Amino acid sequence: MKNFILFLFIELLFCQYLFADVFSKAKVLKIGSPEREKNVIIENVSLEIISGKHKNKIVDVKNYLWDEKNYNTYVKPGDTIVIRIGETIDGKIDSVSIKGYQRDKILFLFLLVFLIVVFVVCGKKGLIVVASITTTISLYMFLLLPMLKNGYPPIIACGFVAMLIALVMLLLILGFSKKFIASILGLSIGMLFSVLLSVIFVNLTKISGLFMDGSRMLLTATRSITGWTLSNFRGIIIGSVIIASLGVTLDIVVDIVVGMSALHHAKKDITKKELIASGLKIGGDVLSGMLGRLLLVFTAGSIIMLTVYTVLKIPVLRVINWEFFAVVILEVLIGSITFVIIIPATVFVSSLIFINK
Amino acid sequence: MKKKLFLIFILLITYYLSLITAVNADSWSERPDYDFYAHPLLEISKSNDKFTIGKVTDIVEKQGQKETLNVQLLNGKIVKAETYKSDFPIITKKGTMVLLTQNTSEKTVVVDYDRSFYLLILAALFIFIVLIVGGIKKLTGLVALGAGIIFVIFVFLPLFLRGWSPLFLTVISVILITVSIITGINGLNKKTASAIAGTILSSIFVMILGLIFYPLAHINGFSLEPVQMLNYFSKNYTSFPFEKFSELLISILLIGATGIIIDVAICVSSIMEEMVSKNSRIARRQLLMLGLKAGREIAATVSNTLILAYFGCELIVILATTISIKSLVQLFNNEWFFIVVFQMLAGSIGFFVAVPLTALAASFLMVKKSN
Repeated sequence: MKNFILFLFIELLFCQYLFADVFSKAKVLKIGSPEREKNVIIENVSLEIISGKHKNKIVDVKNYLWDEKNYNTYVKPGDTIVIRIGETIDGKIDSVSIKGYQRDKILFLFLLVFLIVVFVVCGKKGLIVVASITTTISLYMFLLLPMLKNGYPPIIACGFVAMLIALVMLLLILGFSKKFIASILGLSIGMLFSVLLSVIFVNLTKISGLFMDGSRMLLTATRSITGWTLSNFRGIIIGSVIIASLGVTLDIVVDIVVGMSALHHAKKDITKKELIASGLKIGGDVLSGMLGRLLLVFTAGSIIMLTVYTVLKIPVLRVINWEFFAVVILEVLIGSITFVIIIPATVFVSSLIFINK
Repeated sequence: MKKKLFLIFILLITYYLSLITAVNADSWSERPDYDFYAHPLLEISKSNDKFTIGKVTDIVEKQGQKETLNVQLLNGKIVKAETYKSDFPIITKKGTMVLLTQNTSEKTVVVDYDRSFYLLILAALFIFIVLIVGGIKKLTGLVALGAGIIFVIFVFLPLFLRGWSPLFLTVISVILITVSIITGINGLNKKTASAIAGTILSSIFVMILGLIFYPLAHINGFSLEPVQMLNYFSKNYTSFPFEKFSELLISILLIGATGIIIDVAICVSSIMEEMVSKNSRIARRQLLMLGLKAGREIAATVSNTLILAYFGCELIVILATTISIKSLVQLFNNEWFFIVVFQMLAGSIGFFVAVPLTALAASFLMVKKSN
């Protein structure tokens, strides 16, 4: 094990050297005659770099066209593509390779389509939608990811960011009120319970963190975070469940609290027992529909890997005990349990807050 | 032992290669699947080992790298099993549940921990909690949901490996999942019919978005390792080489989005039915307007759900990728990044358009004449 860790440190250095490459866009000027080798055709492409610090330089690149056409990037004169430039220590171009197609324009075009749909359907409310989505994305990208990279314990980092997102969302939806306090308390109790539960089960199922049998890069990259240990790997599984289920749990908490508050307003002398019973009913009514959202996202995410197992006819017992698969099931179950536990937690807390005798 | 060392050797080799090929390239100076012939999964597939579960009763002897254990199988028989030390050892003590292989030479080897036992306990706990919170009635809704998902995994998957179009199969399974979930929750009535119509129309809208944008951005999934594996294994080890990767990705997009579309459609149709029951002489146009207004609120409050769900599911991958991706040019042109963002946004577009589509369907189904 010690050797292995030493290994990783050496690799870490290696890693950083390799990733010091520069990525730029380039325009295809002309394509030379192809050379044919055993199972590959090599095109000599001449490119003009059109962005980044090597702008306006003209370079020649080999484009490898494999017999497996899906691995290839097909270019013709006038196309814009993305290239990787390896630099020498003093910043000159050392090597250039073709990275792939240009996709950012289409991505931004699609973002535009999304915004149009949001504003057409929601009207002025669209602004709130955009604000909440922007908050989520920026808290995730600029707070959670840096925190994880700097080696904060994943459960704490994810829990903290989840709470921040929840605070902002609830303030946007409910404003600062009794309802807000009730929902934030319900949410925290439910989350605490689910973290406890997941710590127990992740340890029982002995997840080692080497479960990414589909993706070598995950192993490489996450291992390169200094100071990360096994417990961080286990923690990040729990963290990802917290984040993934946050959306649905927020929705159900808001539904329950708003419903109960309306009931309390309509009937001032309602007893605590009645209020709890109706709160549980509201929660129960939306339970299966909301759980469906989460489950189908997880199902979609594991389809390709499950297909690989099917293709290779790996025995079912082996697949179920596989870490990759066990992690998916674990995430699904813990996410679902969190979601269900939050219903009574919120109902109980809000009954205490709305009726104080 | 040799086999084990061989596996570790492969692990390390692949590990180095992953550094050299860099993360998520989609043009390759070396074919990324050239070493798949030695993939550990293939080892398992080729060897006809039988897997069983057992419980360690006691440790017989330790001998250097090798350990001999007594393991009780599920049928009560006690066998001798061996376990080997490696960089990732399986640490056993009395009572540990383990996964065993029994190969042809009658030797039993411990290959992994048994995780299914604890997963079953967790599943039982989940059912118990649902029973307490929602009662037996809610369990039926969840059974419908579970049945839908099992259908996707066990009926949908094997068929597209036989050459069926994945997109066609997905549309069929989306329709079946939708019908089973919505009727499971609401029973058979006009409310259900309009929610189903709204869901299916919106799903088709999402599908069309995928069909337009994926080819535009040259998406085929080949920068994802599972896709490379599927391609390589199906071409070399089955009689049905799988080709339609772009369609498969659109299918995944569609299945991920369906859940929330169903939910929004159910909410909108329920609210509209309540309006009709309160005022049975409501005009179609008026109902549509009220439905749209209520639906807008719902869509606005759930707008974050799908984004958080994908962010959570992909947390490890996103973390790994952003560690190695240093520049914005690389990130925004990355195939994997495109797929994740597209899944989030297209799914969200799906439930946003579900509002007017469900409202339209409900207004036509619930009000007979336009007066």
